[in-house]
Amino acid sequence: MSPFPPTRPSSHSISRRRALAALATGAAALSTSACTVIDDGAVAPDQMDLELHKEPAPGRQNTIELFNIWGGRTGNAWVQLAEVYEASQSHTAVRVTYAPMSGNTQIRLQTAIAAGTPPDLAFCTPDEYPQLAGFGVIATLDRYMSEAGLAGDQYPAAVWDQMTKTDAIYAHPVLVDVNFPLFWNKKVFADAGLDPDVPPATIDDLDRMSDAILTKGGSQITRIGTVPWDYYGFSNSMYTCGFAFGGTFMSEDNEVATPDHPHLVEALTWMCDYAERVGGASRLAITSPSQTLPTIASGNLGLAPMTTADAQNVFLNGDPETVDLGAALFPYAEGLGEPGSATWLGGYDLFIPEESTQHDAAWDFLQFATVSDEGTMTNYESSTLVPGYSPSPALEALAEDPRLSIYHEALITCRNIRPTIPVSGLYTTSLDTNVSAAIYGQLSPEAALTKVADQVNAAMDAYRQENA
Amino acid sequence: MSTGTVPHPGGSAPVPTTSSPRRPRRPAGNRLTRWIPRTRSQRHTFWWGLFFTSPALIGLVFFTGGPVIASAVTSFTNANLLGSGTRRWVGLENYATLLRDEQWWSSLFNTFFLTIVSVPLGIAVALGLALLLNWRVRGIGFYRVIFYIPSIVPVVASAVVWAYVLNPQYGVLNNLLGVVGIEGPGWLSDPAWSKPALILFGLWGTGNLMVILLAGLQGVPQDLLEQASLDGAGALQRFRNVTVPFISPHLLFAVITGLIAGFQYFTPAFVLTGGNGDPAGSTLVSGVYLYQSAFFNYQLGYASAIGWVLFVIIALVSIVAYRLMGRRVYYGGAA
Repeated sequence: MSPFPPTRPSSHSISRRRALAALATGAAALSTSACTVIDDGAVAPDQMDLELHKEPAPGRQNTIELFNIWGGRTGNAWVQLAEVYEASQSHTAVRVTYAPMSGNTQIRLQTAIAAGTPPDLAFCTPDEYPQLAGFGVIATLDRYMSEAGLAGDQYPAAVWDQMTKTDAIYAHPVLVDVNFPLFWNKKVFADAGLDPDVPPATIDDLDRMSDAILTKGGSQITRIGTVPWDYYGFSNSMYTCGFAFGGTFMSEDNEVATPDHPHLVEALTWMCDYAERVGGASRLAITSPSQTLPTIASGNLGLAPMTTADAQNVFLNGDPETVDLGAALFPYAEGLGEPGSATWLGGYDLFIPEESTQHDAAWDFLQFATVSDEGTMTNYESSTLVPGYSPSPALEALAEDPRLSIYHEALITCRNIRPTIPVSGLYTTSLDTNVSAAIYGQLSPEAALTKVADQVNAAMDAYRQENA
Repeated sequence: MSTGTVPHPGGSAPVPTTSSPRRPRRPAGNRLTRWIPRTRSQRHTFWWGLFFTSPALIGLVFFTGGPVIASAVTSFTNANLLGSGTRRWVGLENYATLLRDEQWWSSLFNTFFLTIVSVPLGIAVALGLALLLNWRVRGIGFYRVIFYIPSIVPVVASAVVWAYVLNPQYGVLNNLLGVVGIEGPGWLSDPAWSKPALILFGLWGTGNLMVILLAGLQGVPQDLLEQASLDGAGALQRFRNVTVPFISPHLLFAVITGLIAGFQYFTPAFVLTGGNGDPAGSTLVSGVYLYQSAFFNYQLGYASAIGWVLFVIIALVSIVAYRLMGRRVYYGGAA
């Protein structure tokens, strides 16, 4: 070794440069990908020009504000609806304010309510309104409903059941997600040697078909029948499978949470057994083919429940070489559930915040959006938003749609709703955490669901103490 | 130092004494009032200074100080997020509930795990990159920019890219592992690998720390390195005995700020795993649990208690780290 430090770069500087260049190339490639994400976002190019915000029409007697929580076509649907509404009358203008969700929460709405400056109309999920009503931040709609002649016989049974779970009607369904018909990919069925025109009717059928479809690359699952713990999150998966096994999540009087119902334990046991049979949930290596298409469009998933918007997306944008969808009601567990028993109601309601100032004008728009022929058809045509009001022509159109008529059948036969209680948010997060723990083998199904029952019932008791 | 005489007050023989440099005059007033300007010039400067800093000060008082005090008070109440209903004083009930809350302990464990692993690893990677970028090679400025860029890409955009990098089927990482015969895990779908995945993702943003350490490395005296080299010290010895002492203030800074950021960890876990702590609660960190309590469950009082407990933990850990490391830091001769 030379006793003197080098006075100029020695020959091994070349390898230094190579090392630096290799690392820099990797970093640059990933950074460029990130820049592409910023540039393109998760919005398809044909949706880049869609408006999510709208200024009110000038010169009207009233101006109301609606918080719009969606992006893309669904977000634009509310702008279109507001324009149609403004054209249909001359007294009320609508400002549509884009107030996107952060995760599953509407932070802008929450802070606006807390600050005493809420919008005139806002969205909530149907299981969310009892909590908001309990806090006293929602206006009741009973007077408006009776003046408009709206009553139970005009709504599908599950929709009306959900609207009337509390002492008064606080929110009105504006888009109904019928969760979930099961879609199957005929291409995958054919490739696995199954009859592509015969969907599973029971959970046993589903197991048998899934076994035939399952493909592994090493220990990773590269093609799977269905993923029972990934039906739009762990809690929604539990609701779907739980109802398929004939379970109930609340007592008859809606006072006690019953996630530890024996049928629900059986349902979760089936989900866990399924995960174990395919080699473990962590071995799943199947993802969506793009930012905007659901996983079934990848051709590596045989069967999946889907919302109306996702199903329509696959029908319109899926590669016909990879995916050819069939639709049926979700299977049931023989001896426990019955045909169609898995279906439950999701979607979104519109409500009028108590502290908003223009209740009458807000109701006028709400009524237009949820029960009028023009309003419900506009929503259906712009973004396949299904109304929860039986006389709407949009439901007729849905029944006649060869691809989506399964949703109409499911809506008419649906009998289940999610727990519609003042601590529904906690019920959902507790199910998410504990069902997930059971699926990954950290808790037994029974222990997981008992934990949920303890947490939710303790929260219900605490709520009753605070809000007698 | 010179000796001299001071006349005795009584006019008798002078008392020998030792003259010393004049001690600095102590500012008038006690510690609490020392900052108050006394001369006209000081007052002039003080008020103008206050005037120009007033926007920041007003912001600090109302938008930081106010919420801090409000959250401290709220943590002793049953307040809900929407500000409705009767707000009731519940004393230490929220804190007592926190002690019994399994999910809180689980989230705290996840937070500690991520912090303890990611802070030293992040510093090691940032230091490694800084050492690489301290080489004298052609185009070094370009390389420095390239390595710094990831730290200014928004976390959400980076998370979307990393969701692809970590994809078990098509991801770059598992494909690279496959080349050397290793079957990569389901990074974000396996509870055993989800935290390492987040740690790996965290390394992507070490560019800021890299720049700080690079500045430190460039302050290491070359003559000392050359002398050590002449004395026969190898590269490792030079790094350990010369470089590390000179960059130790930067390393202390990195550790303290890393610990604080680690306990406040939120965005990557929220974006990459949907804010639910999936899979199986393995990525439920304290920040996400606080968010869930406030915005999913509307329990503002409880969420405030979580925030204050986190604050105390961060303060304690920072003090311990400073006590342990602070005395080993070398400030180049300055005290």
